[in-house]
Amino acid sequence: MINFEEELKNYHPSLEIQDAEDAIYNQDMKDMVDVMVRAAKDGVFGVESTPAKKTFG
Amino acid sequence: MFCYKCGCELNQTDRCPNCGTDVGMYKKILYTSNYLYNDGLEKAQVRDLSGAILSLKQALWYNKDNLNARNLLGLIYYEVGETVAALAEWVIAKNINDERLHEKENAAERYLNEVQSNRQLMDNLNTSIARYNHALDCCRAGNTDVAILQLKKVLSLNPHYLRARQLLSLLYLNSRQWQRAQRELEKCSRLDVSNTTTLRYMKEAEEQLAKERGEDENKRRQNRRRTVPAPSAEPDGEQVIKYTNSDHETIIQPVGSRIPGVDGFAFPVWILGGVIGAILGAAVMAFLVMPARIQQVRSQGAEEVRTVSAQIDSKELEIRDLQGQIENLNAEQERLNTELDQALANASTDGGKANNLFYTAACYINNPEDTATSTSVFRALRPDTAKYDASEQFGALYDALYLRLRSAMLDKIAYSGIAAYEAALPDYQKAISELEEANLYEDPEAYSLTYVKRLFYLGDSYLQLYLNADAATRENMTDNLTKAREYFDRIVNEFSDSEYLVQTQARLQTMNGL
Repeated sequence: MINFEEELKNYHPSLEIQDAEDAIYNQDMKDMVDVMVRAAKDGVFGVESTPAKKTFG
Repeated sequence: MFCYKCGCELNQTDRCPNCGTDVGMYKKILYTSNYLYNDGLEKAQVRDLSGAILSLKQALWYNKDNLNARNLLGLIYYEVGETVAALAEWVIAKNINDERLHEKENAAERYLNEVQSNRQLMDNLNTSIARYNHALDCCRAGNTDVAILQLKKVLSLNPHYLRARQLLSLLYLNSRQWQRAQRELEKCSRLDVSNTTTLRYMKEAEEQLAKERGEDENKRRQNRRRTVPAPSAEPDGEQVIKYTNSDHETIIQPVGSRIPGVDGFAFPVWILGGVIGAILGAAVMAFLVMPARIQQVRSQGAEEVRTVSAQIDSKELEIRDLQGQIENLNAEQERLNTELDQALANASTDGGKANNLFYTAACYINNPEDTATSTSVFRALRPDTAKYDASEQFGALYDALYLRLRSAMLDKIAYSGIAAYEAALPDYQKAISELEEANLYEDPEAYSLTYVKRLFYLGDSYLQLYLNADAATRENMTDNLTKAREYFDRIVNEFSDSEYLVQTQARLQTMNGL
């Protein structure tokens, strides 16, 4: 049997359209590519992440 | 696909053809993001919107620049009535495209234009969100009747608002209106086939309905057992008349039974008829008319309560609107008062401005060579504010004098600022105010000879003021660093052949180390 009071706790007020700006600013914009680039910068991947030496001729 | 380090287009190999960076893992991440986008798209096509949202969120977690995934996520949010989330995704997608990707076709722009250009649609969405929030408040306050009314209005404005429909179903479940709940949940299910909340509520409604059907069936069976006599109960060897009425009930009557009033009972027929009529009338009143009447009165009462609740609710909304209007009007009044004060202040200074201008004109006409006297008063009329709210004639005279005195003004103020900076004990504050003012007289088409020098002095004055301050004061002086960097950057970018370049770079290095 569904408990009405408990179920009601799952519902939250919706953001109104004038609050859309907050919704945009509060987005966590970090992704896996950022993590990888950071790791490559910190040398986590060791020698593999460093650019290969260019050979001529 | 482009290298994350140098931006060069990548080929089939795991190395960037330009800078040689290992891009194997980077490619895998982008492929995973694309795979998740495809997965989300497939789910969206079969209306598994909850599943699609999960996949698309993951796709964006792998690659936030996956424009298609972001646009589709926005579209799905919009489809289930989450307007703000949808707009947020589209705005972000638009910004990412403008900043980095520069794709010619970006669906987000079209979606944003379509939504924002339709005033009626925006109003409806806004109202539906406000009403949903109000309904939620009513639910929490235990006022479920008003909440149901509110949610019905929300759904008439925005039939795709999934969360509102689910809440309405929950309220129906709570008030044991299983069939209504089921109808709403079927609509939810058509919108998003695999939403867990919908499925959970649906299961509950179906269980309760099945239970009710089972109880009804039992009752009917019991009734049937009571009305249909067992074959053994039939009088043995006696002749009977069997007939079936409209409810398919078999009625058995022995052939020899006597009919009251016909077969010789004591009461006369007219008395018996009257008594039976009275009993039947009383029975009809008690069992048919009265319950219907009571039911009617009850439903009228409930209807009135509903109407009054709706009226109270609409009044509350009106009050909120009016309060908002009062706040706006107060703010407007405050702004107008400020403008009025400013206008009065300007009016009092306008006379002074005109006097200064006339005095400068008189000095210049008397002796055009004596710029020291002319500029002394002309300086009070700063180029950025002198013509503000001034008459056309005032502006014309000011322009004429400005043209003739600009160079002298620039020399005079710039010299004062440079002297303040180069003094044995430099007055950086004065240097800043003088040099900033001198810049107002600079001609952007032909900079004066001291321009770069003054830029450097200005930037350095800001920096030195910051460096000379104690730690507590520095916290409020971050603007100084911004200004200093602005001037230093101009020297580096626009005057890279200047003699101040090396010093500027040294200052920038100092700032980077702060």
